[in-house]
Amino acid sequence: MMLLSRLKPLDELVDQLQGFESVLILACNGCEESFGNASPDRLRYLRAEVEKQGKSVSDVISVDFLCERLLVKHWLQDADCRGDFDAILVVSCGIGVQVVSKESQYPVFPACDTVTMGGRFGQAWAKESCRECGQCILPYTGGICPLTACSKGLLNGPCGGSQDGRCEVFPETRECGWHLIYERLKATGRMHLLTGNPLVKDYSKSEPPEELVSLRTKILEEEIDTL
Amino acid sequence: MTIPEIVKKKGFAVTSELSPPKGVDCQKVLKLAEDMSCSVDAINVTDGQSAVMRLGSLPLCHLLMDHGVEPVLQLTCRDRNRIALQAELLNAYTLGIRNVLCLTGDHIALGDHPDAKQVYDLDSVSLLWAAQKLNQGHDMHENSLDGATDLCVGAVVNPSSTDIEPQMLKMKRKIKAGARFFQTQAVFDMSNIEPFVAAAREAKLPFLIGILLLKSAKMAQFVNKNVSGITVPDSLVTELEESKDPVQTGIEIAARTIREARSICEGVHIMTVGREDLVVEIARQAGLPA
Repeated sequence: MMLLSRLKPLDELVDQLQGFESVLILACNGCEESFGNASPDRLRYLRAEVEKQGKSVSDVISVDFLCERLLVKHWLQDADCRGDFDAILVVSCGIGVQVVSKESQYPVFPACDTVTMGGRFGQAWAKESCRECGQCILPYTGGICPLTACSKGLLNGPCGGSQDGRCEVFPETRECGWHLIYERLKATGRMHLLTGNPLVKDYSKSEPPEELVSLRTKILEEEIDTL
Repeated sequence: MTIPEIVKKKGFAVTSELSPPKGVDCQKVLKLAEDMSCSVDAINVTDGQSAVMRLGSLPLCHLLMDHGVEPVLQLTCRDRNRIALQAELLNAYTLGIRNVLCLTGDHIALGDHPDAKQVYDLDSVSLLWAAQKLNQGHDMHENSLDGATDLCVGAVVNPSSTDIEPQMLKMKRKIKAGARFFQTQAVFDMSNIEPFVAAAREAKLPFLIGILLLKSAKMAQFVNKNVSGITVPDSLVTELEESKDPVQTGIEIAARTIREARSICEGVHIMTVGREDLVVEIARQAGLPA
């Protein structure tokens, strides 16, 4: 599997970190590595942009595969103990952001928009938690994606049917995604996000950009050629 | 007349609802509407309720107007993208409809076409916001309209949910997005209603409490088991179980709940699910003016 993502526009990156003073940057060296978002150059650029906003960067950590919960847990144990930051900026696909959000007590923000899932398959198992919509809204939803966590994919809050935190459509098997989001935002002191302006998706962003697709194809083909 | 205008004029608004037929024969449903029109100020027309394919809400609303009945068009986001939703709002206004209730819509899995693709391009909040834009003379993309709408858009809230705070926050979001009245999911127990009524009052919006006719103990148990977000208290289930005439008891319960609601809010929305012929009797027993 190879999730492709691109860095969020700078104004979105800056906007989501408003109100936070110290940021831990956590970068994925998995699929992302090939596409440069977690390259040393790119991470230096991100660090500089965050610092330009008058925020400190407590650390920049690269982890192989942020979709691996155990690895993330290990890294976060150390970082969370130090506690020298109040927000985590994650450079990865939407899955990595959500794994970090699950494992950390701090608010977690995506540095990227995930645009496509495709490429190499058959190596990893993962619950579907990213729909590669190209317009990552995890900053507004407590690091939990409502497109996959809510059975209707609602963007602006729960439907009227959730009961005791369970989904009205699949109460036996699913938690209400918006209940999880609510709990997470409450725990991280960001409840104001639940009464914000309506979120509307821009579906024109869900089409993967041609340059990323051709780059991926090229890398995969070269890989096969060397075997 | 819009729901807020009705409340302003009469002090208390009474609405009920009808489902369009599964087919095109509207005679029966129009007769029901005519019969209940003496007891209600407006009638909601559902939009693919329970994700069951039926005649659309719009044509029936239009026919109701021809019969002198004020309709409330229900519009859900399940079956249409933002282009179709905005167009339907323009359609409604062009045909003289003024009240629109904006809903997300029941999940496809609950209906008679579980293999259909569900849309949810917008949801109830963003649909309210889109309608507000049309009222301001432009569409969601700020393109100017040749003639703006003046729709009165309402929203739903479920005060009976066990997850009260998320519901409350969503209500606030709906107010912010332009809701001008609220109709609630069925309420049997008024103990949690206060913060919702207060939020509506603070925004100066009419709040109509949902009243569901319980026709039998079996129905009450069915609701508790299968309708997520609605809870019929045990005391009412027992009352129905012990009754010799459960339908009559159900009417009494509904009338009692309406009387209770009259001292709390600006109106009620009566849902009788297939027994629309009983709406007049419920209103009579509740002491609502005919």
